[in-house]
Amino acid sequence: MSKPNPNYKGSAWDKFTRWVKGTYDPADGKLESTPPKDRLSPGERAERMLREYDQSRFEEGVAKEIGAFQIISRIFFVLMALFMVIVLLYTVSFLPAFGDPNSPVNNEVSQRYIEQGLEETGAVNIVAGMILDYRAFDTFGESCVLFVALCCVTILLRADKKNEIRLRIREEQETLEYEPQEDNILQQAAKILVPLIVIFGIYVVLNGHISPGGGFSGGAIIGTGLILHLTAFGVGRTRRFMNERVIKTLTVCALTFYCFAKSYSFYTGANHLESIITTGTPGAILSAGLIVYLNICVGIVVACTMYSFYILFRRGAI
Amino acid sequence: MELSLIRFVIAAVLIAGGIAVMCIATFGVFRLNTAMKRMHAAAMGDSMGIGMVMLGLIVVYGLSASSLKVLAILALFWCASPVCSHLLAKLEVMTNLNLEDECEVPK
Repeated sequence: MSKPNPNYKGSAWDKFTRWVKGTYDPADGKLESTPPKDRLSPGERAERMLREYDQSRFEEGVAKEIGAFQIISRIFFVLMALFMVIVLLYTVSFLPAFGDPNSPVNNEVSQRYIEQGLEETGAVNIVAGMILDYRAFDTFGESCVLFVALCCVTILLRADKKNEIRLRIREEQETLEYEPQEDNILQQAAKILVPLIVIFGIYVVLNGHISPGGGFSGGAIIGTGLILHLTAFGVGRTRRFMNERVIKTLTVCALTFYCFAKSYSFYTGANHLESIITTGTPGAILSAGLIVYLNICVGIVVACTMYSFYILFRRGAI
Repeated sequence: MELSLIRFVIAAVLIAGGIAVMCIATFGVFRLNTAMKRMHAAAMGDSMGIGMVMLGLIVVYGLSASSLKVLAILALFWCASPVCSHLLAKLEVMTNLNLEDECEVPK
């Protein structure tokens, strides 16, 4: 017996299997709203903006006539603000006085950090000793939060074939003439400023355990230097050294190194084993055990995240 | 008069003058009506206001590493601020349709 439809094409089961595989969507072509077809020239776009501005002015005039509602809403806003102020001030009145020696914050934990922090961690900057030695796992979580945020922003904003709206917006943005493209003044200034900013960021990262600073602030400084380079010289020249692969590799390597190094340190410390990590002489660059390396890791993650956020929000691709 | 007192007076005058210039600049930014005029007001704070405050701080610190850092901040500001103003003005010229009504445009 010959079948008229050997592969059951078009049957309910076939549609179901294709839906599971992702090649068929029953709602396809029914739910989409049609995009505006007319691509406006800059002059037309400006004209439309002006028309909309006039429209909003007209609506403003209409809104003035419903003044009673406005007055009531303003009174309501003021009452809400007063309520919040009173609640917050009432809460503040229960807090211990500033510098009170008996406040619950002044317990044996902070005392131990201050008295033995330098000796135990080797970091002159006690804050660095705290966040990267005693509480290094917490800082690891913070770095991972940055990484996860970067992943989410990439998923949401990346403009590729699966995200056509962003791709269209990106194409439109690239034709905008009022972005600083090949601006000579900006480029000359960036030529001087970018190396200085990046070097200063590296200095802040490497000195994190000696002076105020550390991975987070230094990484942010390096990230701003990269953003300045991107703004001045365009995406093409920045991509030569900061593309998606480099960012991925740097971030993942930094986080992995952080995880393994600190796991080793915690494992040996908790089991009273001999650790190869020594505190060294406090004040030297290569001292304070792992803190320098962990600072570098955090700095790399923060710089990559800052730069990628900026470029993803602006262009939709790293 | 003692040297430290003279130094204190010079520093105080410089810092107070710088803060006054900054206040005038802030007032101007809120008071003036077009973007170009506002930039004109803001540039005052970026150049002279910051400059006087930082010079006052250098007088306070004397010859030390701190005053070198203050000088570096000043150099950074005086490099970055004109470039920002240039970019802002360029954007304003490109997007503002009524520029001829607001200020003189050289042909």
